[in-house]
Amino acid sequence: MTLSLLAQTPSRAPEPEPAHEAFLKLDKVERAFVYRRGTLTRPAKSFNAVDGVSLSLRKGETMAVVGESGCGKSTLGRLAAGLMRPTGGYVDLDGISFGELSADGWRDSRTQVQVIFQDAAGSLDPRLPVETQVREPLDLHNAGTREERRRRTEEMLMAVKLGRHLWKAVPGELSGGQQQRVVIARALILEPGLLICDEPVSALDVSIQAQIISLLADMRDRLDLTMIFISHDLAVVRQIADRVAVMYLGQIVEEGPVERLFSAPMHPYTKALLAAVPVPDPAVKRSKQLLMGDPPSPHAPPAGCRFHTRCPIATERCGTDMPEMRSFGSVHVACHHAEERS
Amino acid sequence: MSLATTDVIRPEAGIAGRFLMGFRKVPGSVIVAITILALVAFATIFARGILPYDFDQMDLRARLAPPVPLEGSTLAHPLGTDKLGRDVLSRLLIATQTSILLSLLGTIIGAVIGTFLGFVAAHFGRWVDEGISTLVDFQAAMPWFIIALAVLAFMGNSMVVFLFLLGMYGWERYARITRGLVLAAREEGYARAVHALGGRSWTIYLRHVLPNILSPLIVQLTISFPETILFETSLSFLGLGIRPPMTSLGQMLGDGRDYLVSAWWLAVIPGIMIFLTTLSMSIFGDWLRTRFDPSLQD
Amino acid sequence: MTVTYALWKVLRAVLTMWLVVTFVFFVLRLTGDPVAQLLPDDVDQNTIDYYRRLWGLDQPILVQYWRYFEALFHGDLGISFRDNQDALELVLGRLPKTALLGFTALGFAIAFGLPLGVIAALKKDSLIDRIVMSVAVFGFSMPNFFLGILLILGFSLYLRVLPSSGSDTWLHLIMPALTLSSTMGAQIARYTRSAMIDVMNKPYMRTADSKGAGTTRRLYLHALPNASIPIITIIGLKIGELIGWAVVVENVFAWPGIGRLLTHAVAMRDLAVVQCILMMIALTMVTANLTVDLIYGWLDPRVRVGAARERLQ
Repeated sequence: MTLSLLAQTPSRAPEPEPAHEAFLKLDKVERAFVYRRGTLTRPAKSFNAVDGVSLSLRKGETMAVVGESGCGKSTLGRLAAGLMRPTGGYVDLDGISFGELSADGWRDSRTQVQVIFQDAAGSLDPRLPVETQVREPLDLHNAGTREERRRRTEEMLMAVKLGRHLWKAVPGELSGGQQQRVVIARALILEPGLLICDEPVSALDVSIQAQIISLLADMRDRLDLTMIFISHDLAVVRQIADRVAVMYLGQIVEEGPVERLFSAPMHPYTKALLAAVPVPDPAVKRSKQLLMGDPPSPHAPPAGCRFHTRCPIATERCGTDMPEMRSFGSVHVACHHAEERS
Repeated sequence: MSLATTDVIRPEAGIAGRFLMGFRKVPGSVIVAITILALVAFATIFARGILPYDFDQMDLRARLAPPVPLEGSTLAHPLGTDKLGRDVLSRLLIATQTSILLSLLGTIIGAVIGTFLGFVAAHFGRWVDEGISTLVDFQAAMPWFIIALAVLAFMGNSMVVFLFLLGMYGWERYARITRGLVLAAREEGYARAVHALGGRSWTIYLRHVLPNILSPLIVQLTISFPETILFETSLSFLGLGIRPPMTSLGQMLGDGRDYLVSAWWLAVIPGIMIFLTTLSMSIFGDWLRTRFDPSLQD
Repeated sequence: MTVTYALWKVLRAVLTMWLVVTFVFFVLRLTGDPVAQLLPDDVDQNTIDYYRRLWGLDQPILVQYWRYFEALFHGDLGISFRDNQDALELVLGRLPKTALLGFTALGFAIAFGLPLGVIAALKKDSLIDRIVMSVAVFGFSMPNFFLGILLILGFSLYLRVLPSSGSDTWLHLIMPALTLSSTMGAQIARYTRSAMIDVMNKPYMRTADSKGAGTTRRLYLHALPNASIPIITIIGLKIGELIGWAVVVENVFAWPGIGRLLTHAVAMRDLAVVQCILMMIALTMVTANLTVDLIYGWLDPRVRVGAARERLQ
């Protein structure tokens, strides 16, 4: 693996070239979880945290996945990374089908996709200096000579802008933002093609969030990363994503280019989410479209359109028929009433 | 981790620097304990080099001489002599060497086997775990001292058997501790993260899990080492462990018991040695435990 | 506590018992020929063979094993080679003495250990606490045979106040019981202290504290029963050790109990007696462990004894 990509000065092309091949493809992916064990007299009860999700990303694209807690976005992230096996459908990354890999093959695939989680400190060994931990993936996969690994580690640490005096520190001595930088460095040192970020900044102070997001964008541009960015915070998503997918109770309800989604959302849930984002300007008048009621339990999703119990424009049909995903230009929506203005 | 204003540890210091900074305040009793342990270790390693006499060299003219301050003693034998005129100090040194080495070896054997089995049980889970846990229960339910007694008596004087029995004493505690700790550590974020980075299980165990669970294991070592010493000396005392012509602290005590009336020092001196060693080890172990995990109350 | 849990534990206990008995059986027989040991050296081969046949030792080992279990279920644990007495009878005959020693020692241990532990906990981190804990550390670092010898030196030989061997009067009981109680007393003191500290740190105790001293005193009477659970646990789990120490102590003081019988039998290679004693000891330990398991299961099914054991160790 060459180091030249890191050394390049970043310049992102204004429009990603439309490659016809999907780099990452999820096809009707399902993931079931058992929440009550079966006994001799009663079968186990399970539910689908991810229920029939199909997505495709081109190389270099950044797709954000947003939704409330419990909608299944973290599970989706893990499935896309190959950390979990889907119980239905399949996941294909650049020709590699995760479901069919052997243990060794799976380990090798780790050089192609990496994940960053919310809890940076938790992902790091409290005892080892961060420098060692950033270098560890190179050791695990036997990449290059000792000298090369040392150099690579240094470059990576500099790329994430971690002060040299902190390189021998242990995670406990670093701030949250610094820890996350270390985690990013470690995840990217093998230069994977796909990076999954699961709420990477949610635990950080707002001022630090912007720095980390900008770092992620920077690394993405330098390494030509394809990225899935999971978050419940729409404001953060806007800075970094090309496309956004909105999830509700295990399903995608709307998906489209980021600006389009923000300016003209089509699904009632998306509209509600956007309405809840605080806008700093008190002069702006917005129509409040609050969600009604509490989110249903994922174990027992409502019949028909899963959102209909909280939807302001739900009709009788919504309670019986599951809406199909329909395309409106570059936007895909699953709602019976998508065409209507509101 | 909060850094108090008075003890800022510079990150550049690295791991070694951090460790040394921890030795700022050590209680007096612990220092005494460590000193005693150091002396014992010295005696164990260098016993044969510093012997004033051969340990079974007899001096029949000076039998049952008492130790120095008492009347009838000679400076030639500062700790006295036994019924055959053998110098007590020399015998003490050799006996210490034997007892300590055997107990150390036994403790380590038990620790290694127990820890290994704990890992295996935690890693493979299910039936392997059940099987090993049953073995653990079995070992815990056996009156190992009594069994060792019987085996040694029936098997005669065999060092290998004795060492085996010593080694098997208490392995189940390490297995239990290790198993629990490994199961917990596996769920830790960093273990999963390294796994997600493509690390093999045993790499994760050796590099990340083992170092993080080392402290409870070391504390357990400092508990079982004195217990093993007591185990060995008890058996030797009863005439079953180390037997003449070899000698150990327990053996000396057992011999000396017959001479309580005429030469009480023959029993008391080795006894004090045993006591001091186990006491120092316990104090040291307690202190280690509070250092490693200040949240423990005892 | 579910029935499944209880049954499983009982099953485990039975299995362990069986394993121990088997282990002991094979180990003892495979380690040497008892007959040759027992008889004088100049005896001829015919006599040896005769005795071997008499005691069933000429059979292949698996047959012996089977026969042994058969006899076991009839309550027959073999004949002592030395005395030609029924092994079980012999052992049971000595049981009362050991029981006397053991329970007295346990009594001393609790009588000293418990209050000391409580005091240390109440005055945590004070001088008293440190003194008590030092005494405790001394207590279980001291090998009990050495303590016994020191006591004999002091009280029998020097002061001539107490007898050093035998078991005729209650005076004879004091030193052995004290010796035996030392290690366990020290451990009880330590565990009581930490259990009390745990309980005292619970929120309900601190609320009570703020209400006034009178209430707290009553609550200590509540706290203590709570804290006594770990104490019962150690006693249960350490019974095996106690028995081991008892063997040694009985030898030091020539106390005519099971421990002394064991040493003699072992020296004489008296298979049946040794086996019988080992079985009984194993039975005691397994029962004690089982009881502790069941008590825990009853008190809180979520708390596994294993976790408690780990903490205690």
